[in-house]
Amino acid sequence: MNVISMKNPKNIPLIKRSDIILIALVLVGTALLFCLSTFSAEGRTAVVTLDGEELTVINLQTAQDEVFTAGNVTVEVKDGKVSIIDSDCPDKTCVRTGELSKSGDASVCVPNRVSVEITGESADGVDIMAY
Amino acid sequence: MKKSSVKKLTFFAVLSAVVLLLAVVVYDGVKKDASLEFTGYVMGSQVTGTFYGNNDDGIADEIISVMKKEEDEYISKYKESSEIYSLNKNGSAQFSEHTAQLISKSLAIAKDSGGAFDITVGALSALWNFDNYTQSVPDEALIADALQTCDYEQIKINGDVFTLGDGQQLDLGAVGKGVACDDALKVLENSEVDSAVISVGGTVLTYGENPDTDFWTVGIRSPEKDDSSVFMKLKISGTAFVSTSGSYEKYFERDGRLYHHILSTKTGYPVENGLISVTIIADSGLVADALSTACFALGPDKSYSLLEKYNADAVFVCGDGRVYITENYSDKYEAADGYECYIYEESEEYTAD
Repeated sequence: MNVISMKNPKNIPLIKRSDIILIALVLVGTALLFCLSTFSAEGRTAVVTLDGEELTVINLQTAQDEVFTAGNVTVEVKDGKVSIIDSDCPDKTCVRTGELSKSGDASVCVPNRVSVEITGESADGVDIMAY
Repeated sequence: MKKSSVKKLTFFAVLSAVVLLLAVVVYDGVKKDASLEFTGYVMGSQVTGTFYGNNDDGIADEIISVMKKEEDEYISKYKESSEIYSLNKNGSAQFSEHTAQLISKSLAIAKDSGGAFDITVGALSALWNFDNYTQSVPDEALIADALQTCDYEQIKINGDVFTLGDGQQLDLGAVGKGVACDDALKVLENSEVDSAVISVGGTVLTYGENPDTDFWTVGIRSPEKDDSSVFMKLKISGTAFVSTSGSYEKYFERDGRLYHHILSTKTGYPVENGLISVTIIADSGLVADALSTACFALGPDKSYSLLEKYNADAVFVCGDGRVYITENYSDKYEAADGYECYIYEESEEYTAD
């Protein structure tokens, strides 16, 4: 390319049409990448852990309704929300917590060492929860 | 300006924009990759955390194992291998320097809070047995007997030998999670990790500087029962400990009355003073945990000097939606709708209902 040359004696256009197309392509590509990286972070996913180990990750945007067990706990995915619907633990705090839908929502069954948490770029922008 | 120069300028402007955008995208990717999350279980609680900067899987394992050691060897009242178990069983025990320090610090806060926080609450807490979900109201006479043993001044210390008063049982349950956070801080300080956030059953340690912003955003769980949403966000700078005590954590209902796990060492029954949650920000996990219990029991009107003495900040939440927050955090919070926030000042005007 001749754009870097300081002199332009032959009066060749500084930027050719092909250059403009190239720049436009790079720009559009970059913008797409940027959007992708920004918006994909907002995709809500439910992470189910058993004994501190990741058991399954569910994309709540695309998930089919389902019911499955995690240890002694029953988890339900319905209408893009997730909840612990049954547990053999004595206190049932996890069941009472109800449906989780927003980033940062979590339900933990400590006796059974099962946790369900909605992750993704937190809509609340919270780094950690105190309770 | 010549036409060609304008074109040249435009070209470089566009080029710069492209490079800048690319840099942002690449940086965004790198930044996310540089964090590591972990989950574990100790002290009947879930431990979660995120490390930023120089991290490796080994740190999470080390932190969990140090916390387990804390529970098993030092502070558990259930594990036969612990020093506290041995003291409770034999009435007297020789303590390691570590446990002796924990007890001394706890006794100091017991004294400073006039017994609102008291580690000799063991016999009373065993009666209510919230840890094991007994969910029944103990017999009145038994509560009265147990209450007699709630008195931190009866503990005798002779060098490293600690002796309990008659019928006394130690219970470090109110500070266990905070102590675990203190343990985590020691591990982090000796590691390559730049910054981290860790929660042990809801007691939080923020460590170092947030790589993205000037502060850590700590969400406080809604004090409403069975609601896991964020009711308040606090902006915390650097390394700090955050502990919340609430009536929504462990509770049961009998005959239309609600019984929660924060027991009054004055009455032997759950504290009833209109508060539903107290959050403390302090520079030690043990102190944050102990003060959240103490200030919950004392109420806002009697907590001021205690908070001042330990250089701690607090958020008091009343059942009617009023929130009192210490001045240091008066411009570092966001509250959800439905809460009226006021600056917490030294006063006896806090009507609890």
